Amino acid sequence: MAKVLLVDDEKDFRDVLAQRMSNQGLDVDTAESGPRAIEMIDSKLYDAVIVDLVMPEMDGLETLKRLLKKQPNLQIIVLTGQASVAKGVEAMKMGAVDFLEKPAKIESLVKKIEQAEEATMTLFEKDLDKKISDITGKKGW
Amino acid sequence: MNDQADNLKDRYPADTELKFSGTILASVTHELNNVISIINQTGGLLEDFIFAAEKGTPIPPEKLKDIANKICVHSERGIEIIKHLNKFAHSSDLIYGPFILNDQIENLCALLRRFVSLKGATLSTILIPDKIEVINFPFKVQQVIFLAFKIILSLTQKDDSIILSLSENESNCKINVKLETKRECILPDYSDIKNYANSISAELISNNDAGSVFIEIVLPTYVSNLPHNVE
Repeated sequence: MAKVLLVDDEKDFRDVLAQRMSNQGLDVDTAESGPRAIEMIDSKLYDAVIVDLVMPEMDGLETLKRLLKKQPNLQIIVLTGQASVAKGVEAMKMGAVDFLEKPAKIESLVKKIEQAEEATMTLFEKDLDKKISDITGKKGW
Repeated sequence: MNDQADNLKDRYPADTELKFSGTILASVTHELNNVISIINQTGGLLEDFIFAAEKGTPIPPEKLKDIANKICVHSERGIEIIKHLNKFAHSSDLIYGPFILNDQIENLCALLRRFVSLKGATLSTILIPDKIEVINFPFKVQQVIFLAFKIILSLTQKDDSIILSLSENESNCKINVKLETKRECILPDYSDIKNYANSISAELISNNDAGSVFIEIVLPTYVSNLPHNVE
């Protein structure tokens, strides 16, 4: 079951989308702001983080930057309300793995989360392989 | 290419009005998109429950109630936004003439609230109960208010308050765009806005007060103290 963190300031949007994602078999947590999301990634490993771009206090791009600073391998999918792809592309240049336009279809969102989960797994395995080869190299095995 | 763009800018001073409309439209459509996204996902959630019910899982009545409530609340929110946007769009129907300033300011404020909340601040209005009628350019008056608001907004931070108030005396009315903050702020240069305000016979006065920063827009009033039921 993929672990997902949904970050959006609109409570009703957050609640409904989280419920729909749970219905699709995902383990979903929610955060109402960027700073809250930054706190939350300390206590749980997420396969994907969904971040809304337009939020008060700290916007989505700033949140993205700070999340990646803490966990560079974090798979972040951005939700954009803009009809043009420009903001989504900007987010990808900053390290987001993908973006979706609001209102997003649940099937598209789930598909992107599954891809993010696979990427997280691959990165984890690579990281583990590297650690093992570092240890075996040091020990001369 | 840049020279050509500069020439075009000189030939079309209405450019700033387009920018004003564009900024308002971008913000409002963004908010409408949020509203529609909620309704869209709530409808999707209802579909999920129906799909489960078809497979034998009954739909809990409280879930249905919650879904119906969300759809109603956000539809009403969307309708309100569209009403304000429509009123704003129609404010350009009359190029020059008499209009009720209170209504215009209230409507503009409803459209500006989102800019303020994105900064984690609040926007409130203090309008005198008497309707103030002015003879001016309704769209341009809104633009001057917006330009003053933009300056104040650029100084706004989390937990600040912007207050937009309207008052009048015998010959003119005053629209005050004020920032209440605990920080020390200095108004930036805004001579270009002053010139624009002059073009509609408005005067801009700025002030830095203890705990607040404000710009006052003084407009000549032709008819004042209209009865409350003027629509």
